[in-house]
Amino acid sequence: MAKNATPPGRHAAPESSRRDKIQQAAGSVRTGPSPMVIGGVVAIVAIIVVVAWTIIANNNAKSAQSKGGSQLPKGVAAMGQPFTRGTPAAGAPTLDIYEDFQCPGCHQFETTFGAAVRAMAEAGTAKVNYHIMSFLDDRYRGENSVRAATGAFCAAAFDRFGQFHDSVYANAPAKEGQGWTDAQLEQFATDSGITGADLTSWKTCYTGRAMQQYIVSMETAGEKDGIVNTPTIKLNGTAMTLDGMDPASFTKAVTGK
Amino acid sequence: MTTDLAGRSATAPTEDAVTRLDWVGTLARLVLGIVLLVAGALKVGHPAASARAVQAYQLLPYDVARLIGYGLPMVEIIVGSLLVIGLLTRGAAVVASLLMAAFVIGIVSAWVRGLAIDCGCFGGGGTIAKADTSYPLEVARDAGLLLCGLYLLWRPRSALSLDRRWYGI
Repeated sequence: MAKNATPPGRHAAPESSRRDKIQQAAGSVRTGPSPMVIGGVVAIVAIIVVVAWTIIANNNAKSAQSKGGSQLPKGVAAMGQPFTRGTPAAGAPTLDIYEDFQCPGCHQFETTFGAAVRAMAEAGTAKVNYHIMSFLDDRYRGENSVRAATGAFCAAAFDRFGQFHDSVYANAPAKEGQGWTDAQLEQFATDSGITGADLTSWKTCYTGRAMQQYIVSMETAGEKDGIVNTPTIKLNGTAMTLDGMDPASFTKAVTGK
Repeated sequence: MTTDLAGRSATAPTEDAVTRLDWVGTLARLVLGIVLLVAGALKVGHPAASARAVQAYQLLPYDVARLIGYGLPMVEIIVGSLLVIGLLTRGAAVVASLLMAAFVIGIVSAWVRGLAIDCGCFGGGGTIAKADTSYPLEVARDAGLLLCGLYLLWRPRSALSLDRRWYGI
């Protein structure tokens, strides 16, 4: 082809030779395995990883449930049932309190309304049911919720659940998620009035995690009740809104007095 | 747009030419991929919290929601990684779009049913105060990400991708 016969510009080469060049060049660039193969392999590996991960997480959750002892705290008849504080009078309204020992909102609730709840429980004017949950252990990657709950339910054997419970909230960690040391929890037991031989058996219960499965069962029961946040306060089965309430109006809302 | 003498548009996609749309694809890939990757990574170490977040929607049976909560973060990580490196872009975009569509449906349904939950998209989740819900924002974000996914479904070609490097697509 004579030079002066070609059109001006860089795209003068015939289309066919241009394509050949592109294919040649592309052939040397495409070094990866065939898309079908890599697609299939990645899909299969991805599915295996996801399924395996799910099974592992499920097994971990199951082993947490079967870890530790299967004792029930004194006064509780079955797994998943709440712990009733005090001795309610016949026909007293039921106050269900769902809380996690580590939850800052629960600490706030206890600071404001704890004394009112205690008064109603001790007077028997309300059936105060504690549903102690422990999901914050997952968020904070620890066992502080379960350990504090263990201490409290071990104290129930000496009728000191309430005192232990109140001590835990009175000594909330300065930083959310920091939890309590074993020595602190033992101190709460002592502060609750557990001493001497009782303290020794409290320690055995605490160290052996005697109530572990009960604590896990309560967490599961709470989740199944649709409790996805703490504190949740229910009066005769209906969730209460505490906005704008003070201890007196709260007591009145519960007991009518 | 220029046209060469063979009548081919110079901006038409070929193996070598990176077009403006290819960069749009790259942006869509990175936005969708990084969000998925981060969301998955934040949740993957907290299986119980993730399970609770799914259960909080009250859409699925308790145990089904639990298992989805365990597996979902890993799915997000894998799909997010594929999008970031640009491998199997169209396939990853299909899964990502399905996820985003499911998230949008879940959040809208929680909103309509009057639930007060955090979407749990980046960890956390569960019931929160009504005043703290941010459904419009969560829906808008996931709808935007869904658009990224649908775009890649329509046109998976993008710059800086393994698909392009290895297969020229």
